[in-house]
Amino acid sequence: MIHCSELTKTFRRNCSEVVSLDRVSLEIGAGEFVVVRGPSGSGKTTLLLSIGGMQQPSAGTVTLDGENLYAMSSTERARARADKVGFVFQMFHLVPYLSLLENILLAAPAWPSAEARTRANELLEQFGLAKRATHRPDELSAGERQRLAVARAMLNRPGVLLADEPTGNLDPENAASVIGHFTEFHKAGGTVVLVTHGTAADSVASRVIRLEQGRLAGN
Amino acid sequence: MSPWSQIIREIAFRKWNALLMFTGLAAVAATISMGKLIAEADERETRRVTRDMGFNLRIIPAETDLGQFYRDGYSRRMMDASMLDRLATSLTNNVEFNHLVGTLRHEYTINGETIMLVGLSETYVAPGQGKKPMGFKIKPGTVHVGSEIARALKKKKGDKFHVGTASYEIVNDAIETGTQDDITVFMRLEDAQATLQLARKINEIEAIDCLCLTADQDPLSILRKTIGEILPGVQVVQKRVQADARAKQRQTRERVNQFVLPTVLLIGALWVAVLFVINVRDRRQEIGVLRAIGKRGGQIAGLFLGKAILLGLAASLAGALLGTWLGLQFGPELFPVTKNAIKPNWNLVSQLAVAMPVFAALVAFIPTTLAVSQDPAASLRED
Repeated sequence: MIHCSELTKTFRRNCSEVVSLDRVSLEIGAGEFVVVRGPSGSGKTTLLLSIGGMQQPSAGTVTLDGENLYAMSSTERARARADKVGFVFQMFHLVPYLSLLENILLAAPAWPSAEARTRANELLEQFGLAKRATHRPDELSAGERQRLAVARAMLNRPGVLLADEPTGNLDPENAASVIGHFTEFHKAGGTVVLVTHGTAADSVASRVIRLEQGRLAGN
Repeated sequence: MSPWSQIIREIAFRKWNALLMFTGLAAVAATISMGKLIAEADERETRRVTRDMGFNLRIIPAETDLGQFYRDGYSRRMMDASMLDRLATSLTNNVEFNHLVGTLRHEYTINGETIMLVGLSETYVAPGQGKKPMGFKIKPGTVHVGSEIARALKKKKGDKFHVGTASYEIVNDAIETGTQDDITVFMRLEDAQATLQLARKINEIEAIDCLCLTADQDPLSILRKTIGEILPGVQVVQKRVQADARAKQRQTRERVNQFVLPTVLLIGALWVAVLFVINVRDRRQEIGVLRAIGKRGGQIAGLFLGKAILLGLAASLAGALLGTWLGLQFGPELFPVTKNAIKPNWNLVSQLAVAMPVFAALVAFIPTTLAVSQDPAASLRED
């Protein structure tokens, strides 16, 4: 499903070049649950963003369902993200002025269909947020916000969920709840790539890969 | 959700940013609408006041003795009335003079009293200037009679007035002016020519210089050169005080207009642009997440341009109404002579309703470009 070949990303900082990913080659099959672990600055987030079509690599290729993401136009890549990928971030990145329902519907096309609305309401129900559909994110706890972010990522029934430290700001109980939702998604046939420092997902992961200084250190 | 709904929610959420943008745009719209109202009122007031000051250019036969001319108030030399037509047909949009009136001015005796008899031709206005003819139009069979004559002959508006063998109706109220007009009878040029037995003759062409000259130019020499090329047989006398007052008033207004409008537009544009840049910075992570969920650059641009258009539309209406109200409130005090002519310009309000959203969108264009071109990955890394 996801294939990274010789993936390299360098950043220029203060006139010097920092290598964030160094010729990483990786294959993630459909339905896998992959945990990516590594110290801070090891390139985990860069890998995740590159896989999701959000970070143009300096070299190498990323293919998603057989299509080279960075050979596409930006519009095609945006469409691929909307259709195939769901992102979840450590800082939730919810839109503060929209209600919970509207935050989920943000992932739908403009002027969402009745089907999308039904799906959004189902997700609110599934994630235990239905009673707060009209609330705004700042009225939620951290755990509820992250559940909302996961619900938004799932609106378009993506094939793959890319999560960057989704439990980093959560207490163990909420972290377990979020991991539980990823597990359900995985059991339903979805692919999960989870960047995390924690070990809560290790028991459900099909594979744990380790990044150090931009290179694969263990797979 | 629909983009418009999202835009309205964002405006309500970041209300201070939106309010300041709205204020800037409304101030621009108010300045334009009030400025237009005031400028039009100023133009009318100037035209009326300067009209009341009279013509400032006197074109008289070349052989006129200026001593006699200034002593008697008219030239005893005559010129053919066709010279007026020749001058009028030579007018272009770039002439330095306009409002041409041919006059036949001569002493005349009525009931043993010497008065001034003045025949006035139709007024010629320079083509394309869109101005109404200055002075008053005298209808056939009518005369305007000076107050002193009316008093001496016990005449009033509507009475018959005999000049030579002809009879005319007095159509003016005899109001004392404190000038030679009080002992003058104004009539149509043809009537004066018949009365004085000077068929097809005039002894003066009155005009107004067009005041388009800059302060460093000598208007009289340019006028003399221009008119001399068309009518070699005349000399040009300028009432300098009136001409200068008129020119200075016009130049002052033009300078103000040239300065105020661009300055207001520039300040308004900078104000709104800075607020949009702040808005883009505040929404970096929102833009990043919109990218992550698959929104295209055009959709993100639409959120910012849509906000600009919405605020521009609201501000245009509020600003235009405010500017109109201010103009109506203070205009009459500034322009008392023509205060009744100060009226709301609804056409301008509708033009602003189109122009301000476009202006706001243009101002928001660069910040929108920044929003679309920012690296979403970088903003999503920020904690």
